[in-house]
Amino acid sequence: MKRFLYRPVTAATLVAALGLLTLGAVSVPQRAAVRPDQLASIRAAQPALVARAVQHLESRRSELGIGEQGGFQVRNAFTNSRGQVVARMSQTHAGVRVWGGEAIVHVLPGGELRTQTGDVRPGIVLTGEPAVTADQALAVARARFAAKGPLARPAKVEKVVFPTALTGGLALRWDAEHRPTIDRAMSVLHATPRAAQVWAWEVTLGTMNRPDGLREVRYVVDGSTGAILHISNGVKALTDYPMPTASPAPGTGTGLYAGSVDLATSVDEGGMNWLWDQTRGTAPLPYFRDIGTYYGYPGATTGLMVLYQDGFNYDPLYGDNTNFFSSAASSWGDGAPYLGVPNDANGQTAAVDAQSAATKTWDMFQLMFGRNGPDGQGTSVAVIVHPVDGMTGLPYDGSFFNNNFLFLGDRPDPANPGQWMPYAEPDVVGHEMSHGVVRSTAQLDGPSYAPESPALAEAFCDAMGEAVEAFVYGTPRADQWGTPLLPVDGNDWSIGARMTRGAPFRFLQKPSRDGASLDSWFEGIGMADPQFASGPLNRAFYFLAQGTSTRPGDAASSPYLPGGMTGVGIHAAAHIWFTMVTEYLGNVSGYTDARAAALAAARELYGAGSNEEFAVMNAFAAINVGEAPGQAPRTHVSLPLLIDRGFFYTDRPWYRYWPIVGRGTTVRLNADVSNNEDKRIDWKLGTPFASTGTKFEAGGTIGEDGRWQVPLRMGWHGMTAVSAADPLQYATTGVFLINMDNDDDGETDAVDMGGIALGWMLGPLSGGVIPNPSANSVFYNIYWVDDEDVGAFHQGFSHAFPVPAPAAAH
Amino acid sequence: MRTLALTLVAAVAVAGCSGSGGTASTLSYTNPTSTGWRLVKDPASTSTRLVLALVGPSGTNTRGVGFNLQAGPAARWSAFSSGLPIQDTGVLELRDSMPNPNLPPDPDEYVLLNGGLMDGNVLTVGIFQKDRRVTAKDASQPLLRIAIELDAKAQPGPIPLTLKKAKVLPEDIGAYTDDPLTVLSKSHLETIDIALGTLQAS
Repeated sequence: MKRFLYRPVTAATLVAALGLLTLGAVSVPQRAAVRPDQLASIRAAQPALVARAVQHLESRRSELGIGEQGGFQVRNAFTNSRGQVVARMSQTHAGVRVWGGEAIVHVLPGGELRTQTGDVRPGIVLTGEPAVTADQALAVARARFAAKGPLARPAKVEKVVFPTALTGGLALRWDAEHRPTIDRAMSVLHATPRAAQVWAWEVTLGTMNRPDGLREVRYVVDGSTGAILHISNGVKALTDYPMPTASPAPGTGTGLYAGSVDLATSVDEGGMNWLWDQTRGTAPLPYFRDIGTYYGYPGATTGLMVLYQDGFNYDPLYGDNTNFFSSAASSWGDGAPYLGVPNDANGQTAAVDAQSAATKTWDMFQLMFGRNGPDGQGTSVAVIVHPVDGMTGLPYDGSFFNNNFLFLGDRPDPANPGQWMPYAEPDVVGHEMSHGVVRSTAQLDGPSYAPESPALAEAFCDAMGEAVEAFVYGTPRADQWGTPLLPVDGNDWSIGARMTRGAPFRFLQKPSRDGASLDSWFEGIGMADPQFASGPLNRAFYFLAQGTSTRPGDAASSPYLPGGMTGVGIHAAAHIWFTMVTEYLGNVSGYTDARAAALAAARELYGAGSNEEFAVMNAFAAINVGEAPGQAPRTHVSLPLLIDRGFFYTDRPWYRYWPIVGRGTTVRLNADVSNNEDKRIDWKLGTPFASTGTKFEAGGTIGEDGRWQVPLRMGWHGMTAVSAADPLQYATTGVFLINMDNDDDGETDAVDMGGIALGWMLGPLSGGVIPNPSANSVFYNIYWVDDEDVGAFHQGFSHAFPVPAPAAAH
Repeated sequence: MRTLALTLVAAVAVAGCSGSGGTASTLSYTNPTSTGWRLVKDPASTSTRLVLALVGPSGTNTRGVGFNLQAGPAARWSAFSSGLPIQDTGVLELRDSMPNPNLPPDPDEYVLLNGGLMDGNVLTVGIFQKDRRVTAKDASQPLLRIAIELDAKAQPGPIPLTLKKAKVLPEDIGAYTDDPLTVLSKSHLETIDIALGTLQAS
């Protein structure tokens, strides 16, 4: 067995060799290259610079292969603290947005333009109009959406160019035990259209009512056939709120986590106080603006607002009863765990913590990164504490950020039964508000939803949560010019330690301490719940900031970097991470993209060949992404497409992880080993996370040759290919087992298609009167059979039964 | 070396043409005498590649058929230009008979037509109408085709063909207008026997 040549080179060694200045483990950022007055003038000139960027891109039509009809429209632009205008452009064709096509342009202070055009989609030749009308597409989407109650606002229908390579999507969802299951309503099993691009309609539908709950779903409907080609989830808050007009006024509060704090509040003409900070957030919150347009909402639309949901007065039609916090007194909260009444002094406590933490997060974005709020545009944020579970009316256990609404739920207090701990701790709030940064920049958790991108979003938000925690609790410090730096103390490298009373949700130093998260990257990690697949990037952030241990077995040690590394401190690490996401990553990025983006960010911020650049290489090498300086290429194990002909996902590599296989069949698995002469594979049933949080069954038996006798138990199963030469290198895949014995004779074969025919469309076409024999459906717990069963059967069939060779030449 | 290689090629060619004492070069098929479900030789056959068509008894209507057929090791199943080892003759109506009238037809619609190889040189094929709203079709015309070729090492002699399983979707499987219990009682496949001719390598 020949192991790769390993020659660890620490950042400190390289820095010394290059004669660069290092100040221990904490990096001192380079002084901003532009003066404040220059920055102001650049920001004032931003629209013209963005227009120039568009003009520049469009002048390169031929080079980009987008033809005369190709163009770009600005999706988002901001000026960073280094005086660079960063513009994200959506690609267009004949003025119509190209789905997933984008470019990023940096306009440097000196006028130089840098472009990233890797996601521009060339060769679009569409002309004319789609055969399917917008109304027809809307009808198709509404039929799939199947809302029981009214839509929350008018449906949005937009004509787009859809690259058909993006067709499909087997949506997973995780149950309470983190067991994955297929989400039929959100899955697309349609065959990839023959054309490379089609006209399509993107239809967005949303509800917020008792029978439907909070839903927003985006459908891409083929403009030629009306088939649904892609579905993505985009939950947004869509309810109505009263809003006072009031004047800014100081208040005080007592929080559970914040203690006694001063609050920026408002008081109206009647002397009523409101938890409404009018100093942060100058652009209207989109929802309030929209309900002003559609429904005549008369209240204020800007600022940092804190509201609550009232589970005791639940509206059976429209769901929650949401209101601003108001009080005759200007002091808020009692500093105690939540007892269940949202708007009394005790219920105000979560609001105090939430407003304090949201304020600090807003200020941290501004002071550290020069960013005006999560989206950089000063768009207002509404925090909703004590949200209510849409189905039960009980306190919602969780937190999320959508459409500039920050929902902070309540978690049962492990120390006090019957009481709750609000999700209003600074690192949690920092995490959630950072999702707003992601949504307005890289959109890692956006509609494309590539396997690893949501994990990157989660990890970035964890990193920012730690930055907020350090900002809130740490010792303030500044560089020699007086520019504030993130404190080196104050954060605990875990998320939610206070609200869980010492049992955090996530550990950045060694993510697997939570019993579910992963410590290192491998091919197939995208199958895991993003909350846990975020582990490696969290660890890389910790390593980048704090360094690693060289003692095997230490929580901070990594077998992928036994020689260890020195960290660059949380300030530099946070800046690299922030720049990585806001300026370099795209909506389908994965771990390898993150490494490249972090390196670009480190070079941008600290210079090529800097200590920070090499620290980034080491930090990613320590989680098995790329090599450290001086390391030879590592053994790599990959699983080629299981689906080698037709049907689903063939053009969308990440769906290789999610093929469909018939239970009880025999499937031949193959794995490739590169960078090692020893190609032997040890096959193992299950996945590296099978025994932890996300449960893929380890069913059936698998031979040394990769022949897998597929078990009969339906659902998700996993298997892992481990390099026999280097057991640290492996790849994993998961398959969804379907029932293909549709004639129920104990054997899977082509005759089973007759069983599918017996059930095809029987339920829906009979209005559900005729029950469909469940044996005829390839999916379990599904009581109808349609073309998705037919397509799934064909995919399972292709894995089990090879086709013979075509006619031989004679 | 070059001379030797040419000599060997010539020897193989002679043996191939002789039909005795070496590998077989032609494939023939004698149709069965049955008038029920049967596999008959299709005009598209050649001397090296046999195309067989499935036809049913006259006076019978069907909505589809599938079967598993084993061949001896001297023969290998062959795919058509579509890449599948089964060819649709166009008799059966495979698509949704009533797609959304407001939408254009979907060229990528999934249909119930597929085939592949099982262990033991068993060919499994099936073709079925998925939509019970369309009428059943006359089974006495070729409903599908399959193809078989000689294995490169085949010796002259008979090649066994063995039917492992065959089922048809009958005409009456219940209509949407029937009550649910009636539909369920009729929703089943019927086992059939397919008469096979004799396959000969020479």
